[in-house]
Amino acid sequence: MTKYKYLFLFALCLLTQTAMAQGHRITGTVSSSVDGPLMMANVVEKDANNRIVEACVTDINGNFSMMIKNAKDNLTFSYIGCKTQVLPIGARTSFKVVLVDATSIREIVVKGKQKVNSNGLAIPKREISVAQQTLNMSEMEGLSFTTADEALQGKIAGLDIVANSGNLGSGTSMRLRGVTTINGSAEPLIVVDDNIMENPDANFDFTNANEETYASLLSVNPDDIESITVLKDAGSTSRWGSKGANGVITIKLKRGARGKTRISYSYRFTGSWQPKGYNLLSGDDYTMLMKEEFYNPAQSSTATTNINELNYNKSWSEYENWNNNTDWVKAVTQFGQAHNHYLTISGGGEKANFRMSAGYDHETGTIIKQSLDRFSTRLVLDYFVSDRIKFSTNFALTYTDNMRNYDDNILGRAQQIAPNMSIYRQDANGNNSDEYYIMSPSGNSTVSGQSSSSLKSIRDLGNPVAIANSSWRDEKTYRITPQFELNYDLLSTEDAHTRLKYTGMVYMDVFAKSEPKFWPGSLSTDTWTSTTYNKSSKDDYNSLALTTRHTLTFTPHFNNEDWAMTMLGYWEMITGNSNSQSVTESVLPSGITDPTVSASLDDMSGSNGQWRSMSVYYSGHASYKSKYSLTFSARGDGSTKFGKSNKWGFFPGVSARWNICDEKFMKPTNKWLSMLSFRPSWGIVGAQPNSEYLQYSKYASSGVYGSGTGNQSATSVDGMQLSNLKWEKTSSYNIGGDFGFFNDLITGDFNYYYKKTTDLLMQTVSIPSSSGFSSLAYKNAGSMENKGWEFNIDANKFIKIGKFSMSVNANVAQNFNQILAMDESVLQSINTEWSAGSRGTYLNRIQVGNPLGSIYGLRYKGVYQYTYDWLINYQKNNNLTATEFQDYINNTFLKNGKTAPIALNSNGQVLMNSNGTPVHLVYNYTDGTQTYTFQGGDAIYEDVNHDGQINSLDVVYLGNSNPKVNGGFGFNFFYGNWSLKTSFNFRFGNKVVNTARMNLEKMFDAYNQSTAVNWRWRKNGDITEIPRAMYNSGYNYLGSDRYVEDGSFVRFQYLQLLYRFDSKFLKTIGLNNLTFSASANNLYCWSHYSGTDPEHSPGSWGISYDNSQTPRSKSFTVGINVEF
Amino acid sequence: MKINNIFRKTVVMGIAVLTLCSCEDFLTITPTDKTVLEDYWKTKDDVSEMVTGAYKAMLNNSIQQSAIVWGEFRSDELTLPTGVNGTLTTDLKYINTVNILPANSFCSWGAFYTVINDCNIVLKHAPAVVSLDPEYTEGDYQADRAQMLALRSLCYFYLVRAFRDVPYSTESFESDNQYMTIPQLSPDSVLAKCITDLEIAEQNCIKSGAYGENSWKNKGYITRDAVDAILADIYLWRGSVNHNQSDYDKSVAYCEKVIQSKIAYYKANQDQDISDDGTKITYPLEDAQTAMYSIFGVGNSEESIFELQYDGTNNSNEGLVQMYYEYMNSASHGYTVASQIFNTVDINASTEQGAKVYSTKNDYRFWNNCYAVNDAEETELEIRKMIENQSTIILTTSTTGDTKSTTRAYTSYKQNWVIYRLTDIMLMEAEAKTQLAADDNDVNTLRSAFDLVKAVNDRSLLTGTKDSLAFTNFGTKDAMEQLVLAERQRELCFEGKRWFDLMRYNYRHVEGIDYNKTLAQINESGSPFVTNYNKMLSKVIRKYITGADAISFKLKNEAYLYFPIATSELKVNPYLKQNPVYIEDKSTTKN
Repeated sequence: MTKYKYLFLFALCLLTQTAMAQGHRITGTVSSSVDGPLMMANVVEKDANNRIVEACVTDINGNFSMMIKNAKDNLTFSYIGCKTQVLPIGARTSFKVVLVDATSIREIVVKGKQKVNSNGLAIPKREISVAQQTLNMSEMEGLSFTTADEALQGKIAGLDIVANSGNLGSGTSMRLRGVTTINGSAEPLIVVDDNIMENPDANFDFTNANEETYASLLSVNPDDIESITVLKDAGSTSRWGSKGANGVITIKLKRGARGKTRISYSYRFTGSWQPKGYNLLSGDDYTMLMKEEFYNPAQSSTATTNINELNYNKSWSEYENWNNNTDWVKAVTQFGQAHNHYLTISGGGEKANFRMSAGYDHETGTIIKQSLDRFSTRLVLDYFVSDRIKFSTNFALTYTDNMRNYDDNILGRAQQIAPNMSIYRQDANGNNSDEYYIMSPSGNSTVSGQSSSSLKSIRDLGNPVAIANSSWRDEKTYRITPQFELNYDLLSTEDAHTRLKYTGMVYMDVFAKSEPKFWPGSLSTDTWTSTTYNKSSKDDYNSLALTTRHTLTFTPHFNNEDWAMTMLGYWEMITGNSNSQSVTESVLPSGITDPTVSASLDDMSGSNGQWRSMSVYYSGHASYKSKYSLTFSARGDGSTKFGKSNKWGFFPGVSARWNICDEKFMKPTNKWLSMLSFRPSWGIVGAQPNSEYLQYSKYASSGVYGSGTGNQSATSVDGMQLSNLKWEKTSSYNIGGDFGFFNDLITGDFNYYYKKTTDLLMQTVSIPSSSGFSSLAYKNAGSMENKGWEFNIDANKFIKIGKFSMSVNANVAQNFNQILAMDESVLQSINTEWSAGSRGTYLNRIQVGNPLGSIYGLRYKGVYQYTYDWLINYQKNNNLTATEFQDYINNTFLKNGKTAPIALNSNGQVLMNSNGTPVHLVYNYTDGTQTYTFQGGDAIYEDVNHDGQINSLDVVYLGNSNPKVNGGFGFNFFYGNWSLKTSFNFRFGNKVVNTARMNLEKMFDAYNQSTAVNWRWRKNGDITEIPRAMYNSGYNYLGSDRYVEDGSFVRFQYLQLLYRFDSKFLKTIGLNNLTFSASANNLYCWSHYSGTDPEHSPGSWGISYDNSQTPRSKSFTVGINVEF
Repeated sequence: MKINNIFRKTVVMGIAVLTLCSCEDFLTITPTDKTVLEDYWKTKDDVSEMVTGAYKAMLNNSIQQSAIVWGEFRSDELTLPTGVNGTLTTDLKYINTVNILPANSFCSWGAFYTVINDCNIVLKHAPAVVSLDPEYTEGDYQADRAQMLALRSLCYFYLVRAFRDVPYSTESFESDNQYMTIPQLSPDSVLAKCITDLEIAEQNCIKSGAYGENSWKNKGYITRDAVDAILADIYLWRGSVNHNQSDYDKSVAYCEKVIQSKIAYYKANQDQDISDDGTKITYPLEDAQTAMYSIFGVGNSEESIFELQYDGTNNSNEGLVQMYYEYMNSASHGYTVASQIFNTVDINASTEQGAKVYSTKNDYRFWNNCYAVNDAEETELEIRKMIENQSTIILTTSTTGDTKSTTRAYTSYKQNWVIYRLTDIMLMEAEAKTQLAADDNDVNTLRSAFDLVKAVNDRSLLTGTKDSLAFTNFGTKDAMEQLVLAERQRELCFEGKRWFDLMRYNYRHVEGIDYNKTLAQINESGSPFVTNYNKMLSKVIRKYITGADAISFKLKNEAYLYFPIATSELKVNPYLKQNPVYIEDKSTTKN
């Protein structure tokens, strides 16, 4: 019975369906007032939310017929070139519609306020109360950037960007308003279309970040970017809570727009070359230096007898390979080329907007055998289901293939290797063969077939050209970032009513990276019996992260329209996992470069990671007459990295803005002062450690115990449980103001900020080992402050004379950093002690009251002109008494500016021994470990405390690695269709340790040196700044201010000339746009710095060293952009 | 319409709230390759793996090297080879010249405290497992506890002998909210705590042999014999420092316990009867010719009591390899070599005037312990003991010693480290008995001490030789003390014992040692440190070819016998007091 009942019910349902579907049929014709009946005109039935319910098109006679769903709906009639007409259906069944030509519409005025995104809310630009700065990428058209950060350099006040190196894909190091952390990355957070773009390869040691890492921004093609906004104060960054502590860079991508489909193609060619580096010694200069260098410490005429490589010994079998003058640097550098192709198709109609882009870049580096290929595509689609519902998707894929040199140090090797050595093995007549020359294993070179052990370091370098050509490292990455979003207007769709919008979003970040590398046996410089031959390794990493976010945006409408308010709240969840594995094998059969075959397994490892986080966020904005605005935001961040009590961190932010210029009393100035505002803000942001599971006491397998049979498995506790760990928090305030003159012809802003970071997270903090552990993985160890100011001004076409106009922009910023407090034991354990034996090093210390990045070392005062013995001999030869001798030294010798290694008192007078001889200055006497008596030709270090010895007590503060002032400026000129753009950036007052120069002037080992050493001290009386050559002895290159150089510079970043063809002319050939551009990049750098490039980053709290990374190249770019 | 919207809103909110409720779980992730504390300590296996983990921690390279450097290298047995320039060479050079700086890497005590903490963690958590896992009985727990107490005591005993004043904790450190800066205790109180623990352990410890006849566990884990051995050693040490008869008594008693247990076990398990003719006790010792191969080549020998187990596959005795064999792969030497006192024999070796270790070439140990012996010119001899693993028998009739073979691999070095073995115990007993002798006329006591020494000595002599020891030559207390000292060197050289033997010898002959105070306290009270015994110093300097006088001058007093506290420790623990003789002037300015 029931069966029948359901069957009946089902039938009834079907009936209703049919009944509903029946509606009623309508017919009609569509015609145009000009052309008569219209074929293929659209007739669409739309419901109250403008959702399409039914549609048809007219036939050849303009007739149509269709079943309608609901008589309450509207009918929309549309045809290209005609004005769309909307009619209610009601009871009508027949329609005769005449469409009016669209061109005949009278002029209408659209009024709207420019709204920009702030704290997730769309707010009129005049009401933005936080410190942020936007860079529009359209200004960058025609310039060649591999990643977006390069475009930002020198453009944003307070953002200090330093290129990591000139190697392809090496990225930049960015510091926004100084460094607030000593634990991990100090890089700002990158947000692309509201999604955090993290560096997937998280296991990176940020503290010693000189190594080059995968540049995360490589996966965003700069051509896809519409604008970049840099969020600076906590009022804005607190939206990103625990991740926003270093500032946030938000990237807005281009989307499709309603209108005709446009196809645009651009091509750019960039040619680049290495700037001129140090002049290095020629082959003959080198052998001369080496002979002296070996002779000096030994003082023996036979010191180099057995070093055949230096002796031009024709009877030696390798002679021809060692009588050359090879320019190794030239041999490893080349003219680099880059080709960028970029194609976009964009457009949209009533229902959908789309934008598809594809980019292909091929670059070759300025160092041989470097190349980078990048293929990127992005599809952005907005589909309007109705006026209320919108689906959006953004699907991007980036593939990069970066062929790197095996160890990124080809240039370094080329600078160091002996210049008298040949690249290719030469026959008895000195002709090159096609085989690379590799030094024979070292031993006693009098034995045939061996090279001298004194030059072992040269052998260990290998042949740079051979290394570049025969070994390889191929870093490949894939990144896919699909995003799906649903927007639903729950209340009204009109601005004039109260609105409530729901946005649901899912974002995925899929990343895969593989990095195989291979070192063939032919390059081996190990011993003959070495087993690391044909070494191949492969590292794989992949990760998947998923973000979901549900947002409700509420915008109430007030009857008094002076009041405006909007607010949103969202809940976000991120979960992700990663795994990595690596395998290294050696002794592979020749010809095989893949580590998957069975050979000698050197290393195999793998690891898994997972992460989760959850956040809730609220932000609200209210304004009165756009004159007074107040924004409040609060974010709660839940982390898996802390114990129960500290799982959630709370990050509030408040900001306000007062547009003073809108006040009545400012009326008189309104003519020229279009904007004057006051913007205070306050907020808290935080940071968390970058490892998981710290809050647990972990029990890990520690191997087995036993001797063979019946071994027992053993477990041990892996690290201390960190139950006290807290969020690192930075609370900061910002006081700023905006100004605009002459109807915003000149705009700008000024900010002052103060940031105080408390509970600084410190990694690997030593604890008493009597606890069974030597260190804690993390500890909240102290506090730090950063304060500074920024000024930014932008004068947009402020001079206009006929066809000519001119724009100027400039920004400048200062930051002061200081450590306020730090655990004494932490301080004690992280600060390095002075070590007498380590030459060329600087103390890296954190001291309360001092900024991070301070450099400490000895003071260098030149070179001793005379040896101690010369003085003694002088006394003997002239039969001077002790007093006469002392008088001679004080009044004649020293007075004439002569120097010898004698101890002086604080008045610069010589100290005498009781036996009437001057006190001989020594190095590090008390310790007894590295004692050395200084001789003529040795480096003079200032004996600060006048105790007759150079030791740790003479170490002084030499400067700081962070700039005092940094910024940039640019001038743009326009004349008709021509435009000329220039950009400069600068940094002032930072010190750089020029390790590159140190290594080229130390004359301590067998490496090649710069031509500066030709001025080295050779005999008594020589007045020079370069000490004598001392192989493996002496203390001539201790960490001193000799190598600490001023890293200030002003760089002429680019000069660009651009011509845009006249649009009238283009229309005639069917084009929308045609642009030609030419630019010269890195034109000139004004600097006192002696090295190739003064740009060097100090890592997070270290010293900035110039480790002779590949310098940023000079280049020119030509480009064309066509749009159909 | 409106109702519809409100409904939708509620649903959305509802979903959001629901998801929020579970966020505490969502925000909890645990490692996949490790177990967290909350999930550990549930079963018997958990406990036994942690107990094994404590032993495993003893295999740390640093412990092995410390055992050699602290117990051996400072004595007259080891010296530095020329031409070795490894990473530790400089540190060793400073130790050799008694220029020990607090930055010296051998001042590190961390590895021992890791073991101590491992023991403390087991002692803290294991009791709860008894009620959780029925398999884990109270008896199992007591046996585990005994091992951990004993292992902890052994570590503290090492630390006391190397540093004198050390921090002492029975509390386990597992979390950063604990109070980790603990002060040092006087050596007397640390040793007293160790003795208390060991005496508890002695009650519950598993008897030796309980793991089955051929199991390595009988020697690899601490058994009752091992506990008795540690007790005997500590009592002997304390007796020597405090000149205390009752400590010597205790030492003798525990030695005797070990010896009797060994004999009983041997009798119970060997086919042939241990010969016992009523007048002369025979001990279960290895055969003279093959002793070195059985004890060190094969390992876990009959006479072994406690040795650290290496299997050469999952772990390797790198510390030993680097010290005695090759300091790095394919290097020509280890970090250290035997000194010149091993190169030839000296008829007076067992007396105060003895310049060499051995008194006769009929002693197998003379040939077995070092390579290339019997060359009076040789000042650096490669160590053969624990290095050679061939069963080849070296004949005592040779003219030159065995040449070093480098066939043994540098890696996969499966070489156990013997901490206690029977002859060590026998000689400890002899040492204690010598001290117990009332005077030179107490022939019985001296005789019984002599018999033990002779038993050890005889085992290594060529059968039928006339060079056997004669009581008449060592009839006095002093002579007997010299004999025991010499015999211990012959028997136990390179095993990490000699420096401690010399320290005991020193302590026995000086007055005024205040073992109840730390060195820092003594220094504060203004009293000078006790000057070292001249005759001890003259033994130490036997290894130096030049500069011997300077060395004995530098080893002025008691404080110099110990290592300084590492700088890195002083920095992070403000309660630690540096050994006053090593306090450095502040060298780095604060700018």
